[in-house]
Amino acid sequence: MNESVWLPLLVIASSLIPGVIIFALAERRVKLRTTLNLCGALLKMALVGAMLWGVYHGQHYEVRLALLPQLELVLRADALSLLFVTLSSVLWLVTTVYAIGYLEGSPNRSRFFGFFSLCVTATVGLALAGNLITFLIFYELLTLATYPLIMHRGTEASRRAGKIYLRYTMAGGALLLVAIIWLYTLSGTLEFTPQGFLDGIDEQHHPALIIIFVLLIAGLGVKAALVPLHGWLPEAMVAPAPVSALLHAVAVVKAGAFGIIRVVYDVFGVDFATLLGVTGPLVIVAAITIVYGSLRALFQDDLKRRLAYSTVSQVAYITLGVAIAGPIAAVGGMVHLVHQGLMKITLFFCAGNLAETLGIHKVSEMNGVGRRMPWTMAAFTVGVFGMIGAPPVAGFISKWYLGMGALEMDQGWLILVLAASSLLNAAYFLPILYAAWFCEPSGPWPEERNFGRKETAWALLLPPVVTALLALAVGLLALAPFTPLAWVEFVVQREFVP
Amino acid sequence: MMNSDPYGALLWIVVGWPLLLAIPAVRRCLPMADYFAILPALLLLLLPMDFSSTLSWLLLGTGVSIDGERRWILATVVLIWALVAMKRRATPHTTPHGQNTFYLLTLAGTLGMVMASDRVGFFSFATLMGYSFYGLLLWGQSKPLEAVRRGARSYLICLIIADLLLFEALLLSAFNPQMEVSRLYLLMVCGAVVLKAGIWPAHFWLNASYRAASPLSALLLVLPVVMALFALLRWLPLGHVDDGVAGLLILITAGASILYAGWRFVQRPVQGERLAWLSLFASGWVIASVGVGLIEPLWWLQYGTLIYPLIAAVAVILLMVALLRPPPASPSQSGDSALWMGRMWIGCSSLSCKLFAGYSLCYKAGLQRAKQLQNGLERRDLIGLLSNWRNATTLFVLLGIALAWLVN
Amino acid sequence: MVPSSEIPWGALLILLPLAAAILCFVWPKLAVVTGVVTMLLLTLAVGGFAWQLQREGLYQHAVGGWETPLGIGLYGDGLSLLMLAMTVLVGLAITLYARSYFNQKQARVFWPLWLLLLAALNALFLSADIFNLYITLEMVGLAAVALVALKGGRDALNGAMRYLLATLLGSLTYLLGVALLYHSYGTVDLVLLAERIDNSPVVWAALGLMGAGLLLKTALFPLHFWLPAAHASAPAPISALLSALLVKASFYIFLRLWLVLFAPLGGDVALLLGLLGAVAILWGSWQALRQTRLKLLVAYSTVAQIGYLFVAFPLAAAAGAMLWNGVSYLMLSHALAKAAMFLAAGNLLLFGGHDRIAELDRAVQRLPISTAAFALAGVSIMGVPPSGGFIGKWLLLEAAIEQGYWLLAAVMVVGGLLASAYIFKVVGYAFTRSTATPEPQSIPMGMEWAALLLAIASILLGFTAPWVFALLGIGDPFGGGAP
Repeated sequence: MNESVWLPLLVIASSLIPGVIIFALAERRVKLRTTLNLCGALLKMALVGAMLWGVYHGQHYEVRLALLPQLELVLRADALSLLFVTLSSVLWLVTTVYAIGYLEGSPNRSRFFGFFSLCVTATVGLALAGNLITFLIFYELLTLATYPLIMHRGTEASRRAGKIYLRYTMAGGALLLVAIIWLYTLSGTLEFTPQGFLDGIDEQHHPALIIIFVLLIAGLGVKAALVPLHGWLPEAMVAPAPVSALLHAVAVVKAGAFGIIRVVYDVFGVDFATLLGVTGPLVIVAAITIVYGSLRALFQDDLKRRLAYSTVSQVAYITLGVAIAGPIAAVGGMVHLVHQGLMKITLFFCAGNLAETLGIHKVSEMNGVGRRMPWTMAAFTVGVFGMIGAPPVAGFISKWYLGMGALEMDQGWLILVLAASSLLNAAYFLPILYAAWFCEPSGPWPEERNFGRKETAWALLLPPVVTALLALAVGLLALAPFTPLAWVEFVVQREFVP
Repeated sequence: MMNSDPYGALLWIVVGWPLLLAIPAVRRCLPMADYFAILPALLLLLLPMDFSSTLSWLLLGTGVSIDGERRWILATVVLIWALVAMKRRATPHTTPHGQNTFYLLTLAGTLGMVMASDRVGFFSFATLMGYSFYGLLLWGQSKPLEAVRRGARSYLICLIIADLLLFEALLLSAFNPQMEVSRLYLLMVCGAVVLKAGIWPAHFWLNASYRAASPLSALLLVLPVVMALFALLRWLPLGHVDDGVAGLLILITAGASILYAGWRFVQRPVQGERLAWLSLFASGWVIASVGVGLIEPLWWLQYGTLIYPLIAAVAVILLMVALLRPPPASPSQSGDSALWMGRMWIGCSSLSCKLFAGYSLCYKAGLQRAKQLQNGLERRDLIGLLSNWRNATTLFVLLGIALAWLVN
Repeated sequence: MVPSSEIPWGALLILLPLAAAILCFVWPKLAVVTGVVTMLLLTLAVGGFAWQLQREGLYQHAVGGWETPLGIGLYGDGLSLLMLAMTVLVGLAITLYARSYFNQKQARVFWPLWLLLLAALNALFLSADIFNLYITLEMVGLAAVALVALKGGRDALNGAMRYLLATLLGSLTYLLGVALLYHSYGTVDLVLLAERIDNSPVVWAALGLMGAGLLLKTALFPLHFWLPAAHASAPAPISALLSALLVKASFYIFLRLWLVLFAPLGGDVALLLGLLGAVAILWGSWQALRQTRLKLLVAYSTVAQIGYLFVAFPLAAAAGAMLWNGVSYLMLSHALAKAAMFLAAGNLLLFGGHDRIAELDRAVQRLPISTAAFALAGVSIMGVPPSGGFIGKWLLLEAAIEQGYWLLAAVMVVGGLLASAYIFKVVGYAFTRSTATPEPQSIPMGMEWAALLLAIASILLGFTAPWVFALLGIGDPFGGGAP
């Protein structure tokens, strides 16, 4: 066993094993649980760091485990997977800190953190997946691990949300399964290969391949919340804030988007997908999603619901970038994977802080909240400007590359879509900022908790501030080495330069 | 242009320093942060040479630089901020605490806009300035009036749309640098400027804001106008492009603005609005010259550099007028602050006259007016004095003479 | 000391539980100890058998030295091994569970019957002729009927009665077919029959009778009518036994017969079986979804899962051995998962005093281990990765899609979705807020862990497929036609 084999396994194990132990822990073992959680998260970050260094220097990490005589479970660390793995491990650490603060004193924490760790395990696993079947395994595991998290509160609303979530994701998983098997019967392999492995297939199978593509995208689109498959996402916001944060920024939604990237680049290959003529419709779907999500967000009074619809819209940027099928747009799409994660997690953290500290759930209750919780709202503001795409926050960089990519591929109309989205983003986010900063509080807060001189608990305040700073930093220092942008360019080179 | 490290660092400090001070915790350690914030900028103004600094890792490779043309604008900006700072110190109790943050953010954005050497950087700073200015407008009052809100809201809408236009223009030009001067690009940039500077037909926000403005906001409102006009100069490759249609469109807009502003001005508007019409009138002329520049590139190459002093002059006039404007019926205004205003008026008028290369007539006239005004102030007969609009128009004419002299 | 390679592991597998059963019957006080020890020994024996099989290939043993066709032949290949291993795995858990489940009076009856049943099952999986298969099948059935009736009471007797009728009807029909074949060809040995058999009306009639009997016992739709009531009314370990092992026993015979006798004659019958399987999947899942009682839900889920086994038949001709591997794997993982589910359901029932799903939340939340077992087993039943059920379903789906049986593929997928619906209908209660006050846990740990371990095993099966397939390939049970 050399390090190239055990490193990916350790990355998976560093959250799986704490997760399993946490399940077995009694509810009152708070310290041990916290230690396990944090150690796991830190260890994972360290391991991922080591892997990043290795991959950058040409090291090859791969584990294979036979599942069926011709099919293997493959964990492989390539540049693209590391992008997602790094995002998940960093945000996991942050979210764990947040969740510890958020759930302090609430029941069923062992269960929560157990599934929380499983959820991250699944995310990291599907990021490291080296073929479609491995991806599918972790994709389904993610569905199962997230369900208890969504249901965590145990209210009638969360039951309903859980049910809807399952309905969507199980159906999506089934479609994915069918598509993958079909693909396997046609091609005989499922291994992710740069520029795809399908272009050798006989022309008579092309119609079948188109259907497979549609099935794959439909299966992945459920999680990526592409319209009209997005229905579960706004419902799922009844989950506790750390879950929503993780769900919208890293785990579920991103898993879908990441899957779409994999399918277009490493299964079909951009050139072949373009040849099949499937990227065009995908662009249209993504564009519709972008506009539709923003439009719906405009009319939500529930803060988290508004954020959820905003996710619908923002995650479609990733799909859009991939579907435009040019290198620059690809950079924009993939880098948005990270950027949206940082920004959206900040927003959800802040929404959670408001709910937890002041009992605020609705936009209409947010008058004057900026003076009561300036740091939280400052972080929120950074997130909002990122979403709008205002420089120098991360969202600007994504939008810039997407726009350039659209121009590069002669799809100038997409600029209008992006502009419309920015406009709508501004229309539904800026009133929140206005109310928070410039309005007088309309009365006492719904349920205020006292934290002395601080605006809220440290564990709740630190994560959003950190992620907001990160979102600012990755935008501001976009061209520095080792930013997401630099890494994504490294990834895209592999796909577009033969 | 020279590119030496200590000077480059100074450029970044000019921008970064106010940003740093914008953090409340840092600001609290420093008394008189308002003044300290513009100190590096002042220092830069005093350094005679041109230099630049580019950081390849910042944003998409952003740089800052300073040269003769920008010095005009920088001076204007420093002037505005110095006045505002003085004014703020004069009325310490009426400014709520959080305003400082917006104030310093706006300052940083403005300085950054002046010095940004590429469009992405410019755009970033413009965004920073725009949104924090919005905050400043609203936070200026502890309990914003409905009118202030309305003005701010209109400004925000214009700002968002203008930023979008600029962004798309930016994309277009970055995507294909050779074809950057397509008509679409020109019109998008002009559109954005029209929105941001409150030029007809987007004058409504300026109008509404002025009408509700406090003395402080009245000073501040000069800022977006100046910066938007400056943006026009920075973004249009004037002198290198010959686009009659776009030029004509701009000229028409400018003409309409001037006529409209003049007409409204004559109609004896309410006190606050006069400033708005004056502003529109002045910026109309600036735009008009740009329009001419688009139609006649050669003319622009010859006389184009004068536009910077022109903008500076417009700013100074607007500032002076704004300073003279009475507060909107607020009885709490104390005599002390009125005296402060008077002293500032002297300072600013002399400073502004110095700016025009020591043109003696201007200087004398300015001094004379200042003395008159101070007398007025000491008689505490502000309103009577300020209703005398000849002061302002005289100055404007004087400025015109000054410019003509400079051109020759 | 006899070298371990020469120990007749196969015979031991039958004789050991038989002897133990008698022991239990004679000394009821020792019943529990005997049962547990025997189970452990059986595990060892299966291990030994597997080792022997792997070393020597096919296992053939003539009892008492009489060769076929006269004597009783024991025969073992990879498929037998799989079934034996399945029996032992499920048996271990049931033994662990039953240790604390039955009171003393019930235990006195349970252990002898249970060991007898094990002996019969092992004998069934090692039989090589159709008559022996009948005998063992009958033994299994009768022991099972007695077990179902174990608890007494109207429900149990009613269920036992139904079960008795079904099982007798099934085995009698089967016996009729055996008689016909024996009359025509003079042998009951499978290999010899396969050589002699031809396409005649008698054969058709015989095979039809045998098949119908076995299908009745396997409870393929529409012959499943007896199953839900019987499986649901029995005590938990017995339900687990019935669903996990007994149904598989008759399926095993059917599969053997199919591979050797039916397949060459098959044709449209295969398609019919496939369609019935498909309907079973949909009907069973739908019924499961509609149930308001937990055990009935699990029982209907068995009906659906059996459908999966039959869906493979029309695909087999073109797909070859790998498909049967998949079917066997599905069988194995279903056995483990379904046993786990019944055991977990038993815990919930015991704790809550009822099994009405809508009022289950209190029990579900107080018994996290059982609930986890139910959920994990459910994962395998749904065919969601990573689990044994997923591997089996993958192979089936692959064959269906490759051969263009879109309808079957769609049914399998929909079945999986329905399965997830009914499983989460139960598991969802784990997360609601119940207002019940905390109370001391009254379920013995052994019973909870028995369920959980089985469920975990059914999940882990998702990673062992190549290894199991290698064992399954011993003696080439699906290959050239000869068993």
